[in-house]
Amino acid sequence: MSKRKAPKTPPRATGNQATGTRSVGARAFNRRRQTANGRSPRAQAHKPRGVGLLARGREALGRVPRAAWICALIACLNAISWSILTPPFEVPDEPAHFAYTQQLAENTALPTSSESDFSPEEEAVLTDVHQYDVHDSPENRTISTAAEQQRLQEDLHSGLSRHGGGGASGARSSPPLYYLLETVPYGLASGGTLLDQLQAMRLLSALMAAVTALFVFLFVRETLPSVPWAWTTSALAVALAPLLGFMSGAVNPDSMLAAVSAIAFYLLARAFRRGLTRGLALVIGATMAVGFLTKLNFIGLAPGLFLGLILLSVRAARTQGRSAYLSLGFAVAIAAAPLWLYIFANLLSNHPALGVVSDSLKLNSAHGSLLGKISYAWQLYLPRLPGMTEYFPGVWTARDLWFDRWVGFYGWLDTSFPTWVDNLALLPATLIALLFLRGLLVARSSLRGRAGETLVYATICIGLLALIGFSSDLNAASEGLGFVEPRYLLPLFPLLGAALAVAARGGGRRWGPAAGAAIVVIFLAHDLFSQLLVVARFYG
Amino acid sequence: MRNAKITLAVGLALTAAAIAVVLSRSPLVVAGGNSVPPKLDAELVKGGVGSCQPAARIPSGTSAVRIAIEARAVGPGVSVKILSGSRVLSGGRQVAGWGAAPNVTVPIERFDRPVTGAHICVAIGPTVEPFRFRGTAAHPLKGGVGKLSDVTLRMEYLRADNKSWWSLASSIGYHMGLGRAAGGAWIAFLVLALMLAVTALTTLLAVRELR
Repeated sequence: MSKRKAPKTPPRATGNQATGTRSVGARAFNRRRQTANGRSPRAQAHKPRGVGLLARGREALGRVPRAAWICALIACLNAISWSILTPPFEVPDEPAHFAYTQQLAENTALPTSSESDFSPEEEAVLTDVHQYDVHDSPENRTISTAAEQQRLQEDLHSGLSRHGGGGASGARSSPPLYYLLETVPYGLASGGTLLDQLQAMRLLSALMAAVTALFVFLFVRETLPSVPWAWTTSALAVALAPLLGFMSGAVNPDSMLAAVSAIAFYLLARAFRRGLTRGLALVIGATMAVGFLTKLNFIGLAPGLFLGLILLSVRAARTQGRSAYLSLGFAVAIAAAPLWLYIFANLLSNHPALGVVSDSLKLNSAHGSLLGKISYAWQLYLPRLPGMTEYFPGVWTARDLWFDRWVGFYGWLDTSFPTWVDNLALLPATLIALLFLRGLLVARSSLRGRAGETLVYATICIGLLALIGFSSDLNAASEGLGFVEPRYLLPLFPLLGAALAVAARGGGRRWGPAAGAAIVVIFLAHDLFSQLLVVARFYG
Repeated sequence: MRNAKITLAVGLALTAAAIAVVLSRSPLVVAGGNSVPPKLDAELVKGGVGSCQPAARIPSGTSAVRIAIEARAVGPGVSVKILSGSRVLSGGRQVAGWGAAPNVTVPIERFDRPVTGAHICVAIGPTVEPFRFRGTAAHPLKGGVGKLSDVTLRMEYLRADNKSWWSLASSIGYHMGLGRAAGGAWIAFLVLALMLAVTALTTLLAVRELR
């Protein structure tokens, strides 16, 4: 008898009750979930019924694979790194966002003007760290001498007033939720200097990067349940995306918007896969309400989210009857509650219905035909079609603006890689795109069965792109093309994650994990070089 | 599994090698310029314009030209040609789309030796939004600046420093410790430790899950 050959690789660890070990990670999680789903109805029926909300929450957290938590930790650590290496106030609008929070915390009031009349303390620090000289001027560095540091320290400890004139510059029209949350770290660090407070606030944003990565993992798990390794690929790539780290290493509501959007995507995907229950509908509604209270850009996601709720309700009505539509009504009412309350409060106080938001939307001065606006928004992303007026002469928007700026656009939009790096980045991007197309081709039959879900994600995507396009058009006279910033696409990161998962899967059964590994390394390298770029720009 | 591990190992090795190569290079520093003071600050709404002006002395090693052309949010494409008579000595191009900055830096073919008596021609492509430029009047102006050639643009010539990024590490570390909540050069080590942790966690997770 011939001896059996020893396996080339050691047997993989499994959840072994005898040895007391318990396997971890996405694959093990999937196995456990499948086992749990296969439990007998009797076992299911004997579950304790009076489980409290807290216990259920804990149980839900326990079901999250460890791999997802590690992805969240990586996103958080990455954002913390960005928060440390980016000099204070050298991220778009950070002085305004800090001022908004300070106004809430110190004066317990919303900002009253769009002026930049920040507190004397903030003004002194902005001057001392040379913020006005450094931002928009890549050849200028941050403070570099002991004397400058001494002056900064003196001002920080001189007890300058933390009460400003109520101005929060461009942040004035932003909803208050993110800033309200930021008052917590602001208050916790209030015993220190303004820079301590700023760093503490940046750390809260870094936590939001963790939430984004976590829910991207969970979203991809719901959308591609049969490919556990792809969940990790996508969440790792998102966690390492320098854009997420850069924005989540700063005081900026975009970090929270990304997190809330990721949660919304996950909830939708969960509902499409498991059905829309009353509870899930209410949670989706509540998440949308949080989104509206976080940043106005969430409005761009709303049409797709509402469409998703409607499609899910129609589907649920087949089994639940009319109560499914009642759930829909509750969800919509909760989602829209902040908007109605805001309009009501404005009308009561004899202000325009949309209050300060009217100013930022420029509703009173909107001009031009609708077709012209659509043409503008189209050309902001895609090549001009015959018959369209040319809005972007000399610029290939998809390449020169969106792609190159995705590759690197840091500081106050003044720090980017040399052109040859942008050109080099086209190579991996093209390979990933080809793998994505192959992945779609392979999965086309399963996609057909998920047309509704795909339509919803497409509507969310188009809604946000259209919002950015129309905002850019409306504000072109005052801000130029200031809206062409990839950070506004952060809410679509779950779709990026899913696309990367499909791309990795496009590598096939044999090469798929290797493609996933390559994608992860590309994002890691991108992140490392981006951080080096920022270090060179500010401290070199 | 094996393929993924090999991909990870190769990818990480390539990344580390690329970082080592980049850090062994030198930052660009100002080697000279045309000493034109920014007396005039003008704006043009439309691009598709160009002008030529004396280049002054171009130092040896020059590999980029920094021109005082300012973009609001989206800079136009800028091409540069350096000519001696009708012979093109060097040239380069910055594609459109560069961000908010008071200057545009255009990479050019490197000069191995100093050049005098040359002319430098700047061509600005079509623009999405107005752009500004600074310098001195090229000739007596009747009224305001009407075209790019009315102004002798301020320019600086950049070349690689003789110090590598590696040799600047300690000064960068010191610099990073200034102007922040908790000061000190240890900040640089903290960032390094964080990114090493990120890399290690990413690698471990990828090895465990991508199979």
